[in-house]
Amino acid sequence: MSEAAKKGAFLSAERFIVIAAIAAAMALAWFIWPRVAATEVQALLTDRLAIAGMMIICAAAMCSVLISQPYLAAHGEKRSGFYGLILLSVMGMCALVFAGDLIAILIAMESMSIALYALAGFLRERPQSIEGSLKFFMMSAFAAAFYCMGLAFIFGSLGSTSLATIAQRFEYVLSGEGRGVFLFGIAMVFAGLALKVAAVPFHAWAPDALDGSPTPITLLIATAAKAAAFIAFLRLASAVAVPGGALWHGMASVIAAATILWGALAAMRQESIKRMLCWLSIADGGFLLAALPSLAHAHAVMTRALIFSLVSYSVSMIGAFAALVALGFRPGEPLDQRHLCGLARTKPWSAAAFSLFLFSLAGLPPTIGFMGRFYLMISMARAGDVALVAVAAAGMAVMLLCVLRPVSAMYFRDQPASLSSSREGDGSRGASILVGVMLAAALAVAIFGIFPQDILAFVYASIPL
Amino acid sequence: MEVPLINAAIISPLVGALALVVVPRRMPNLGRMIAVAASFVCLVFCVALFAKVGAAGEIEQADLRSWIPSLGIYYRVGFDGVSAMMACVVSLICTCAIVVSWQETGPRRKMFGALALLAEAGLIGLFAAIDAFLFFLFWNLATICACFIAGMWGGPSRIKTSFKYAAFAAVSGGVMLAAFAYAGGSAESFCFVDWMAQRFSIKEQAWLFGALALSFGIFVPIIGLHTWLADFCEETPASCAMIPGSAMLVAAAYGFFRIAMPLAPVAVAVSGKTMLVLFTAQIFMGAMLAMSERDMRRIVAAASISQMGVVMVGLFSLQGQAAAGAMTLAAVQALICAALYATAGMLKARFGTCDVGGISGLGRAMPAMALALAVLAAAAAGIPGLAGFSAQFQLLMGAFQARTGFAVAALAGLALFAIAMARMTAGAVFGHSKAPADKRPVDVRASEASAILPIIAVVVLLGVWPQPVMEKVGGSADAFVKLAKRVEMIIPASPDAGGESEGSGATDE
Repeated sequence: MSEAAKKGAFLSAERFIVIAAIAAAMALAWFIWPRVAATEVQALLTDRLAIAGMMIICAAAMCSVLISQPYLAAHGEKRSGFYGLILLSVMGMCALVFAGDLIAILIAMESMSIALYALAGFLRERPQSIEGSLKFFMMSAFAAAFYCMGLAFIFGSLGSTSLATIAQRFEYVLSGEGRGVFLFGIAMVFAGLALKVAAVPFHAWAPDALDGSPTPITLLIATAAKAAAFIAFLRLASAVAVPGGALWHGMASVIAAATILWGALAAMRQESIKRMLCWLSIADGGFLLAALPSLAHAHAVMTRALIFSLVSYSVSMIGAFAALVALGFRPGEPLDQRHLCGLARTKPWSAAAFSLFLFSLAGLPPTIGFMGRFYLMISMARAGDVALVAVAAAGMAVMLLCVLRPVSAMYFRDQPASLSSSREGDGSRGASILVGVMLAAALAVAIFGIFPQDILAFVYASIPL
Repeated sequence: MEVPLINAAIISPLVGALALVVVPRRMPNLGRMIAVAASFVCLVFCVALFAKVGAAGEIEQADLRSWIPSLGIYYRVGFDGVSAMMACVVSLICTCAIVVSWQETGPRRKMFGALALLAEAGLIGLFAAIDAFLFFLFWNLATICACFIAGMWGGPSRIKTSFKYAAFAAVSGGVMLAAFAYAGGSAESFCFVDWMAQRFSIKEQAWLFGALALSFGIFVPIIGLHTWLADFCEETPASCAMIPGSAMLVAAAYGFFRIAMPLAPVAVAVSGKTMLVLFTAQIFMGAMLAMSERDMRRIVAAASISQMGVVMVGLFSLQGQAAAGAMTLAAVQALICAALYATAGMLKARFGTCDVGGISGLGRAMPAMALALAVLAAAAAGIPGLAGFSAQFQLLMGAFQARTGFAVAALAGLALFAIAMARMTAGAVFGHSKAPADKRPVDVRASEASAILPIIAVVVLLGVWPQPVMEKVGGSADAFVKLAKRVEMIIPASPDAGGESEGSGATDE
């Protein structure tokens, strides 16, 4: 008993330190954001985009730490190391958004991922957790190998790994002898990064890894890690978009469209709510990718759209996963569509909040998720990407039907008698933290969904024209 | 701070819905009072606004507030004659639906009241919106509420029905969003007035009109896209069918009137004949469906399809009188259909069926109900002296001048439709009474009368004295025709304008 109590005390001390560290990082970012001017020192780029990315990462990581406590308590997990690993991965993410060099990206990305592999398999008793973690690790190892190979090819043909140099000398290299080697290197590097952002066809690891991970870690991978990877992806894309021309535009459009549609269609077929959210996060990643094709001629506009969408997506996901932890009725068992039946009567507020987050993920007004999509679509229309606007609209229609399934279970169906007695055991400690996170996310979703002006102003100031 | 009347009209149902959420479940009477009062207050505001709006066809009673200026989005609202009339009609329908619903929606009636009020706010808001973003928000509020209404009340297959409806609504919303994002993105503004001034190239107009016609066409509903309507109205209780089954159709016709057609005059000119053929076919199809169906709610749904066909033929005639008649007819037929749904619901509660064969002999068993049914059916069929006639007459007068062939076809369709209505009425009113001889069912109760009598009164009043409505609607209809027919202003300039706009789009960045 005393051993267990000691472990618990150690874990809560660890949690306290991690919360303080992330809060300090957040405060620091908040403090330097207005003062920062875009500078490049060695391999690190310091600009407002990076600081804004750091804020998104810290906020998402903070929420994931906060919802971890009730989750771990419900699973009776007292081993230490959980929060420390989160902090390690957050460090990698924060480094990633500042990286301005292919090698720096690699180092930051791997230090982020190593902690995430361990976290994904943290609940060792569950086979899905181990399986997901292993899949995540294997695929990431492949990606890193591709990336390293691409990096070597680029260095061989260019003599540098700096993103700025790549952008400057792209066309020069294309006209020379090292053309094929260089292009192959670029393609390999993109393949490595596309895997991290779970772009179709490099998405296969994501549903299993995200579904198998402990829910707070799912949230961490799906929001903070994704934000970091997207900002790195954006930096690399900015370097090659202009010289890449029509080739870049075509490739990026196809990948974005495929990710949106594939993710949305696959999400429709899921029975498990968590797995559905994982597929929705892939589809949402497709919307973020849709900002990239027109980077060449509308750089600032599309970057702004990407960052705003990232904010709106993260807020919705934080709410949805917090609600998922709050609704999880028995630890270790997946929450299925049928478990949600009749929830609107038994837990009206949870049902309303969860529906709000799902609608926000699908992009239904008046939520922040809708504002993100809408802003993205206007930007694409201004940049002339009309076909992608149409694909995005189609994806949104599919996603709406997809989230309507759980919502209809909550509101339209009655609770089956067989489940009425079994929905116990979620009176977990720390439920007030969950309520707090859900409430904050719900307010953000609703208020910024109708009045997005403040966030837009922040995004505009982060990315000058 | 003074709140403009138009904002009060949009906000009052929202406030009512919020209040309903707070009212405890054990006080149903208080909930009912709040719901009816909020809706009635909204109705009063709308009628006051309609009385204030002039006959010049301009947007009046407007309000403009800064909202998301960096995206060109402002809170712009205002009423002209047509939108004010639509708002009055919709708020009347919603009030009646809430009154009727209290018997039908069971223990979750408070939820229905809240959803109906939200839908009402959405509908009033979309009629008032001058900004596309605002329009889209309100449109979605109404369609989402309708989806919840379909899923929460009704028979065993209600969830299937709600998904069918949601699939149609999702396509409609998605296509509309894409069109709005494109138009708003290229015009850098979401104000309808700016959109009309923006010279979209012919190709752009074709795409925009196609997308918006599909999006609104689902709710008009064009042939082939109509299948959600009858299922929806049969599966849900009558009060639940009233708002989506009648008010949404008016909103869709209004979408054509306010956005789709004025935005793309060239596309309207090019595709006008095709659309007229489609809508004429819709009149006949609706009438024939109404003849073949046995369930009264399905008959009414088919009747509304047919009448909306007439409305759209009037709009696409591009003639002032026809357009005025079309919008009046849309409003009137929504009222009539809503009252018919309510009547069908009352019959269903008494006989357990809405089958016309199953409720025959109403004339002897329940004279008041039979009279109400007969008056409503007659009004729908266009018997002189009732509101349907004056609107249809005006519409056909205008259409004969502009599109004689289609006007003749529409007239033939209307004749067929009148036969269908007569069949339904005769089947229900005459014949042997199906009610058990020892226990005569109650005739119309006071609470039920309070729901359908106002609608019948309005229908009769508009039939004998349509002048004030005609004047105000006529002004905005003329303005609409001027916008939708401004092809000659655009075509000569369009090649250059198209090139310019594409060029400027590329050089902007």
